[in-house]
Amino acid sequence: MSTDIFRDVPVDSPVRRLRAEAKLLSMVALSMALVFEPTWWMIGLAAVLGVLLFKVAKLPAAILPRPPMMLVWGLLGGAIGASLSGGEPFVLGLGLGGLLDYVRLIVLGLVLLFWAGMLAWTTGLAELGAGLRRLIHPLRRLGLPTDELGTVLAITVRALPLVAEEVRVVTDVTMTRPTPPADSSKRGFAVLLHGFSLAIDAAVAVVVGTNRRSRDLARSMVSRGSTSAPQPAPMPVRFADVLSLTVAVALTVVSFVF
Amino acid sequence: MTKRLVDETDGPLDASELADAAIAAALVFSLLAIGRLLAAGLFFQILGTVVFAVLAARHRTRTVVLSVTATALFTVLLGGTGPITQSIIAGLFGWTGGVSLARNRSIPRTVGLALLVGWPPVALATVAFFSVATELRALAFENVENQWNGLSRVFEPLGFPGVRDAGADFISGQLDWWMIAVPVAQLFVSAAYALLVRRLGRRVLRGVNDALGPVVPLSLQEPETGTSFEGGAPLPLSLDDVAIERQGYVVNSGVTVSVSPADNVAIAGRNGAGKSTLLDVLAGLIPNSGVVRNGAPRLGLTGGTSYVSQRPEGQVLAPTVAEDIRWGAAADVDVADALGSVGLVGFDDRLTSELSGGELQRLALAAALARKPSLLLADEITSMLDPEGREQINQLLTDINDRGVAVVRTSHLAGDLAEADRVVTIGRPQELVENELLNTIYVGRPVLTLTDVSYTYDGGKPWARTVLTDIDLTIRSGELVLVTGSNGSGKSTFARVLAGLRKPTEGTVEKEPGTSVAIAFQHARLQLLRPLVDSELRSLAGAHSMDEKGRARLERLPRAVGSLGLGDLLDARVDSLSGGQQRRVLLAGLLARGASVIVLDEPLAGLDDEGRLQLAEVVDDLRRQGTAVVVVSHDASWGHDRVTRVLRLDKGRLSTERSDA
Repeated sequence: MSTDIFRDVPVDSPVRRLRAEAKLLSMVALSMALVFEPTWWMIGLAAVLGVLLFKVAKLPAAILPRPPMMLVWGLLGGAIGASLSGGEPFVLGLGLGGLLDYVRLIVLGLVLLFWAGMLAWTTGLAELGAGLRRLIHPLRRLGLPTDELGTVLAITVRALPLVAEEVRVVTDVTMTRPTPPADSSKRGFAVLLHGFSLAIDAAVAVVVGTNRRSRDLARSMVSRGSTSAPQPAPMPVRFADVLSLTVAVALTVVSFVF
Repeated sequence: MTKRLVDETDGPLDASELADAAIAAALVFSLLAIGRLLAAGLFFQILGTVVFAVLAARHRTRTVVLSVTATALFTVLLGGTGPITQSIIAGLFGWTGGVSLARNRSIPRTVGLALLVGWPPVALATVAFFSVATELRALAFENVENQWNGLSRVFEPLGFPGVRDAGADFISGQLDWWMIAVPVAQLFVSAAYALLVRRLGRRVLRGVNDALGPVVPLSLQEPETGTSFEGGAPLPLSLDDVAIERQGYVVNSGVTVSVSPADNVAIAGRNGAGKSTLLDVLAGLIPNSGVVRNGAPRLGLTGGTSYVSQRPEGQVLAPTVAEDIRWGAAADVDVADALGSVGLVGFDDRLTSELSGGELQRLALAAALARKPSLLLADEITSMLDPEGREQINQLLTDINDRGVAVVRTSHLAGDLAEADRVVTIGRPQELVENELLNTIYVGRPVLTLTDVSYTYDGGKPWARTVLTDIDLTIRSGELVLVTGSNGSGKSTFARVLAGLRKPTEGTVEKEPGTSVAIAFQHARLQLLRPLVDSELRSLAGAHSMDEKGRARLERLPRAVGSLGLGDLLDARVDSLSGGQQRRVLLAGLLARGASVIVLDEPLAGLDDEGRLQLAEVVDDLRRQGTAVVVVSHDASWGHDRVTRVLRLDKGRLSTERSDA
């Protein structure tokens, strides 16, 4: 269900044409810059850069997810708590310090999530898997089992839609189960207990269901006579990839130095 | 309770370990993604930990390490450092929890191991991180203090003077000494976490072990050195009056088959007769004495044996078509040629997730052909396809055979068997029973009405997809409506809309007062959640003694159990039942729930004639009790004389093919 929000949007653009590993590394660098230097300047810069790239990537605004109401109310409650604390700066005699700190923390989270979205919307899962595998490939010189890990990554890409399907069926099924009545206060606990035990049953069903899929995949590997995924095709490094990385790394360095 | 099922050994992962590692990674990644979007990260992190615990209890440590690493790499996609940290925490505590569960350790030892392995890296990493990320630390700590200050302002006037300062002092004291306070807090949280994982993990692990049994290692065949191409070919082979064994049990005895090069053999037999097991023996997956072969089976190797299975989506390994063909194939494989020979010209760069069932089966055949096999084994490869797809695959098998590849296929469908030169029947022969006529006297008043129903997935998003358009339909009590349509015609969505699981994006679904609709999905096992039949039936039916409704269901249950012939199975474990029995449990539960309309999604897939007849009788019984049944299927072969209406769904539009009403 919700994972659909992070699906890739097939619009050709300079951002989409970037190599997956360039985008991945850039995002890691940018996240580090934000996490180590969460000042308004840095957050603002990341946000402006994000919006610019959103335009360059020709992404429609409709893909932005709507936050669940539960989350909105929770954030509002936190904001009230924080603003009551007061503190500098004072505007019209009201201390806004607490609120500002709070808003900064929340905006930081949202900007990070937005950048994650940028990566997901402009990169297919298949590309991302291939990018990750190209990235880890050089580590084989250190004696790490990169071929094995590469195969796990390749099958994970394949497994994601299968897992989503199992989760969907089990969620549907669990939702349609009749629950004991909740009208009596005495039975509130029983209903809670029932819900809890149903959740565990559902978890078992998902794990069992996905493990069946895993058997299919294992069999399929054996039928192909190989347990190692073919290497992803090498890709040329282009100017745009280098530029993207340079900007992101520069930001990180700046954030550390200043 | 459970034993560690695979010995700790070195060496790379085998096929089932790789697949389980990847499936766990995909599952945990999905959980963390959902948690991030619903802002319920901790809850989903705990579920992810349980998933890793199950993996650790059933596999080597190496499997868990690779799975966790893969998850952590993918969670970069979710943004920031949070999800990566979550996946690593889930991995550490999942591993300790799983190892403790597998060795049946006591609570203190379980918690001890978790603290020994899980807590130090978490505490160290936190201290290290906050020592470097000073700005974030200041911001986070300020927010904690601010929240306290704000909160205390609210209740200080309520008569708790001094609380504010005391609390503020405490908090700032903790924050000043955060390098000690944070790790100490984490110590307690880790212990609680380990206990929770133990508790949840134990139940999930038991369920998984019950359902799946121990891990069966799948081994790859090594190409024998020194054998020439011809000498290594598996054919001819023969079995003469051989008993077929699977894990020590005799599945079938007295099997006689011989396969020569370029043969076209069909294996017939009812569900459970051991057809698939026979193919596994021919493939060399199950060692069995009594098979006389020219050379080793060489499964998946050039010039050896190739195998294609029943579930189209289950055998694809790579995200793109070309990569899938290259998986395990010789380095110089001609992908275009392989695709051309199955009619998938130009599909090289297509994503496998976007192919139809028929296309996937053709892709599987292409991957098989890329190995230039001398023997092709095909296990029920048409049973999940619509009639058109089935015909194409049958034609392809004939073409492949004409090119000199020996084909051995299993099937319970007469049309498939007719394609073969020779039919070998194993087990008791199938009896084709005449369908008993059931007239339409049961059809009563309208219970469910769909008016102008349309359904669009992800409306407003660029990937919006309209799957149902302007559907009008009235279902009457006691009738049997068959809705057919090819793969991808919108059948599944239609079934979900009928059952009320999806709200139509346009139009209305109106139920007569007192009508309730239930749905039975294709794989009954996914829908049965409880371990024991009796408790599962109660849960499905919503039968309990807490109110009127629950008691009414409780009273209906014995009759439902009786009419579906489950009286002897109440104490059985759900996982010990056959697929057909599981489906009957499901239907009995839905019947006792008081469902007046039952939607059956693809109920015929994989059933032989006898199974179909049994199901048809169950449905007749439901109808006698006034329940309307809607069968949604690509398979139009339901006894037409029993059906009141046949509707066809084509690209989301519904039309009537035949109606008796």
